Amino acid sequence: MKGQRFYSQGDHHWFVLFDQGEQRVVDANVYALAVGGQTMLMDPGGVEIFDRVFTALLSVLPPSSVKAALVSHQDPDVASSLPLWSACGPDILWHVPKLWAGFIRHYGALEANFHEVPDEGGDIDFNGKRMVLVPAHYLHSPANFHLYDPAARIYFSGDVGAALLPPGHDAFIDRREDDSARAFDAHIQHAEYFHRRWMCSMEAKRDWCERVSKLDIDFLCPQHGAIYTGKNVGRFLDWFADLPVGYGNWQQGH
Amino acid sequence: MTTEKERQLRRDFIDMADATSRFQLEIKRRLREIDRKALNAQVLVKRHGKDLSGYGVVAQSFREGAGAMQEAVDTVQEIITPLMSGRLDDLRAALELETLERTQDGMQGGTAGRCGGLESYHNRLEERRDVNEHEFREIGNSLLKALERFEEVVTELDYVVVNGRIEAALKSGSAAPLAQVSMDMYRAVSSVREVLRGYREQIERGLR
Repeated sequence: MKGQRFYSQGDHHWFVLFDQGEQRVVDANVYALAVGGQTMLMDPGGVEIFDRVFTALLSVLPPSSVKAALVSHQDPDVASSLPLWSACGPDILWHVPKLWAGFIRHYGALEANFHEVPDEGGDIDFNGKRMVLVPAHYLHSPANFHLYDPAARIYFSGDVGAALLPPGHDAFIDRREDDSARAFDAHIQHAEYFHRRWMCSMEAKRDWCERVSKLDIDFLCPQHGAIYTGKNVGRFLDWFADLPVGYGNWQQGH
Repeated sequence: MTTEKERQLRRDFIDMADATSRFQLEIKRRLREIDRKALNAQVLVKRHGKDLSGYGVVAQSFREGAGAMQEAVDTVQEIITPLMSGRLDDLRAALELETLERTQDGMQGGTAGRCGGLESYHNRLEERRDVNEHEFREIGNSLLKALERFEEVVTELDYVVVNGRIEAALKSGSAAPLAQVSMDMYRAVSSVREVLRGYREQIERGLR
């Protein structure tokens, strides 16, 4: 697993830890937002890749800097490493959907410090920077949040935008032409089945697309696959808005 | 219930992990700097032709030294990964053990005796922790040896840097930029030595 910085402005940085290299579990990215020496992890990952995430994090940031984490929803690839992180940093503040809090504690961290995010989401302060927890319910989980960093124009999109890529993939959808339509077209084939099958509500999808298309986004960062940049963010939103998803639609083309 | 000893082990591990992170980030930055300065020295020699021909050997040795340092870093890095993975596996075993002990304590009240399967799982976890501890010490000692070797490489480069400074002092006319590049190199190599020393001390503390 590799660590790569992709945004840097003063003491405000974003890193992606990607290409986990363990093929028996679904490949997942972990993002690290660092502000003034404090770090927040986005979907810190599953228990089986904890050591890989931890060592990749070492290559870019000191682990004691982790002060907060977002758990977008309840899935094991998102949050089953929670007790291990909690053992390393007992004071980490965990932003978890209120609906899932009691379920997530089943992973084995009864004492972990939870901020239970209400359904409507809202702003949080991370070391002096405003972050927005954006509701993305039913995409795919019934209680699900993304994180928007307005200063960096970075949108952590959890499972939305996810693609199932082969091992050794790059952090961005194309190494050289990450903004091009050609790169997008090639990439989106790896994302289609995932969205048709996992995204469960047309109504939730339309609502999300409408809200998110109003935001200024330079990087759309999914938990699986690769990051969309520049014009490919808009291409993705258009593509997703048109995609039939949910019950009755997921078998089309398969 | 997490014991104080266990909590201390975790704090020690995080201290070591932080030191490892700082070491990796600092060394990467400083090696880039040394390589750039070594290249500057070679450019300087080429630009001044015969005047600085004696310094050409020094400039070449700078570059070779930078290459040897990179190899030493790679060796250290190869050892760091299993060292950290081993520690993280131990953390995982410790948490499993805690959960299991809670379960076993809960069962004591309601059942006549302990479940044999859980008992044997408990023993396996304890054995895993013993093995982890043994391996941690072995790998940790290999890391110390690799860091010692790294320090030797730095000392060799230091020797070249001192020669460079003498060579620069003996030159006249074009000596000013040469003296500057030699001084920059001296500072860069000294800072690597400092980073190395700090990291080695942290690893030694972790192995005590």
